[in-house]
Amino acid sequence: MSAVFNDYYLNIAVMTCLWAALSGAWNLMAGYGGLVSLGQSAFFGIGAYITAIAFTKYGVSPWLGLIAGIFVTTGLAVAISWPCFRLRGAFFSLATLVFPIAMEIVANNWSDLTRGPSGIAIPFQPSLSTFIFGSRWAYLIAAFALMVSVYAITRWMHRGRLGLYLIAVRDDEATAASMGIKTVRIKLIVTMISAALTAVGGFFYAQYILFLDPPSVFSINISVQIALLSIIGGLGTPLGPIVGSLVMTPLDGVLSQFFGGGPRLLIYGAVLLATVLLAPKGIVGTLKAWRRT
Amino acid sequence: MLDILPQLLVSGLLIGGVYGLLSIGLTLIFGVLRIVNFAQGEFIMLAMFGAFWLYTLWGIDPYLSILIVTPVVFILGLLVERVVIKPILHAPHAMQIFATFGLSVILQNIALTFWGPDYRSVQTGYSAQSFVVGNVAISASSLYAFVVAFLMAGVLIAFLQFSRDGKALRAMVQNRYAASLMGVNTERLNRLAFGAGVACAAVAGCILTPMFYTFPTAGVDLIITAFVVVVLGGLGSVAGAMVGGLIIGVTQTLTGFYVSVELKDVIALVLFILILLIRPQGLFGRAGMEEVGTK
Amino acid sequence: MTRTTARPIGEELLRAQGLVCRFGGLIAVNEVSLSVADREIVGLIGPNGAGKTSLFNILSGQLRPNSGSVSFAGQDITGVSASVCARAGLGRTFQIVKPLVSLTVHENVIVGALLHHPLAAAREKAAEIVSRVGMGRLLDQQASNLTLESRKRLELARALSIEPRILLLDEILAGLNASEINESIDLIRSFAHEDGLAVIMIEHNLHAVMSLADKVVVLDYGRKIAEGKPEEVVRDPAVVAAYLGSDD
Repeated sequence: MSAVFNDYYLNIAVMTCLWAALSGAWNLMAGYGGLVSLGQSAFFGIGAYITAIAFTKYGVSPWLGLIAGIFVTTGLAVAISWPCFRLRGAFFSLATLVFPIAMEIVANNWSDLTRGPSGIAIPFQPSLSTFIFGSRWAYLIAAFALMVSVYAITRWMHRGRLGLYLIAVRDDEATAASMGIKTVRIKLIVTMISAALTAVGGFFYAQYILFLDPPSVFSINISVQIALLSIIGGLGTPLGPIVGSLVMTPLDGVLSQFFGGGPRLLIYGAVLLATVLLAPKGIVGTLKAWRRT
Repeated sequence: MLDILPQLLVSGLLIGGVYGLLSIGLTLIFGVLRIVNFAQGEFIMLAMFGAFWLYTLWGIDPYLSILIVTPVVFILGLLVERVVIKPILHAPHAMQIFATFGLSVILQNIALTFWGPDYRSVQTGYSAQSFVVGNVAISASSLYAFVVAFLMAGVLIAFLQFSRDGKALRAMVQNRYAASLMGVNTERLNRLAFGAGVACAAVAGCILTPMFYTFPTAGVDLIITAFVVVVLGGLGSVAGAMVGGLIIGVTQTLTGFYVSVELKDVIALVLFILILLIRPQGLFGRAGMEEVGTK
Repeated sequence: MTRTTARPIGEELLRAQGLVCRFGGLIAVNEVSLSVADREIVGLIGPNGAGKTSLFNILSGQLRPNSGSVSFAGQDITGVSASVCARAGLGRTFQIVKPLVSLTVHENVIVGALLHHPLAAAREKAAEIVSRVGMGRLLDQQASNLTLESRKRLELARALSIEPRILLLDEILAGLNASEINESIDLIRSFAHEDGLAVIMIEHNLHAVMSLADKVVVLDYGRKIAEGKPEEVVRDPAVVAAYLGSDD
């Protein structure tokens, strides 16, 4: 039983919850709305950076940084995704790839604010007001709460008004419009929700890892990971991201002990491709389909 | 300030020609298959490594290795089309995206695993050479690259214009359904288009090798530029890709000198947003092309 | 197949004036004017390629006319987007039926009902509409599994779900067999008579048009070449000439 309290396992549990939450936020946009964003790491990184900057540079509580982060990412999401909405399918996705790259360049160059490539280290000052804790259990509770919140939001949307509208827009935008749906507005709403939740994940990450630099938070690998989890678990289902994270995150922990970055990502790429070709509905989706027949 | 302008224009045009070649493959694949090949950059990268190893191990000049690398990549493309692309041609967008995206991750990390993250470079006899015309210095490798890029584009455009398969491909770009009704073997041509598309990437990779560093994630930056070029030139238009490439190349060099070096990297991204806002179908594209799904 | 006796046709609801639509060098719609009143059923006929669907696209906001105007219930809706038209009360079906494949029949119709109702009420309304068009037993069927006839009915149900004041039906009878057509004719008639909807139907099935329409408008090469009662229009020499040589 003492193994359960082992720090290593606790860390995996925290990361599992965090990834499930991030992937769940993406699932709203991509799974329900058909807006396959490959640029979530832009929102993640901004959430993390604003939190870190607010705290280390201005001495402001990270909670305020969180609120600022949510506003900024939501505003940015509207600004950048609105021109991209006229692109359909894969071109929308390719367009979203651009933003984390741009953000990383900004973070690397605006050194006054972000300390550039050397990154920001957050001092360990545990307290509730700084959202820094000595015990991993506290982080686990917070991460779990975040994951459950994302799940709850997804469930509320699933087959609710917003969810149905999203699916309609995703399936056939012209038909959706002919039924009175304000398609652009719907897309904006889901993008804003997704961006805000991702920024919260960034805030959590900053106060958990206590260090961030441009490549670690804006990396394309974050976007890959987020997408991978939902696809494996089941795109467009509320449980999908959670199942995907439960399967992949611990696996990632194990694999990282034996393999370095290259081979591990190679395996993920292969798993992603295999899932897309062989089991596109993911675990949850395939189970649901079996149960129906 | 202005007397450096000719130099900048020339450098910009030269690199623009190569950007165009990078993008032709992407636009061809999209035009025929209606699939965005997220792994296009990785085919370029693989070709760069191919040229690098051929040079390092056997001293084969990168321009000569075009003759070896291109057929290999072409065949690889045919295989990939069969295994990865064909099954997802009618799948939902998300699945199509992640099929080629997954492929790109796989290829990047194969390179990373086997060859490591180090930046390699190829220094040929002419790598450091340049010609001087008036007060403009033209780097030899850029010039050769430009010439080959346009030759390659010309060959491809001629193929599309005059050959039977080429005409069938153009028909498919305009209207897949009608083309299939006319007896066009869309399955075989899909494979051909994909193979040709990645073969273009291979040629581009080989000629880039003497000019840039070779490393596993080289494809990532290149595909962003290629994408901007494709959107600027117009989706599905090969000529558009070349023109777009020239424009981007010149804009980049001008920005890098007259505005700022950091902005040089970002200018393509800014242009991209502007194109989307002002003229989403690009210069030579048909209105609404950018909204085309695969249905 | 009796024609109904005269019943009160209401006030003018939709008026299109001088609509022109060009695609490059081709004039798809050439100075077409049209008016439809409450409870009126208008048949829109003409050979293939006459511009009927393009006209519909202009009326329901999928296409912007090069010139001309459309007013609906007194409001100018020229060039307005499809979703605004729908919200104003224009419902339409499409020639190529495209149900929302990820959803069930019920959910397909709920999407439209949500326009005017909260979720719970929308569910009930949608179920009512689905049984009204005769698909009650298919309520929870996946839309992707439907036969053509069912898809057409679903299309109709979807158009109704937004509680329109006018229905634009684009070849809703195409591909149906004789008994399905008769059922549909009765259904459409009930929309006009019982629900007070105005209807414009694009149809190639002249029997249906004769039996349903109060007024028929004929298009050929984008121009309106005739308008009037069905019996009169069908005998109009210009109309006969337009159809000669076609397979109808």
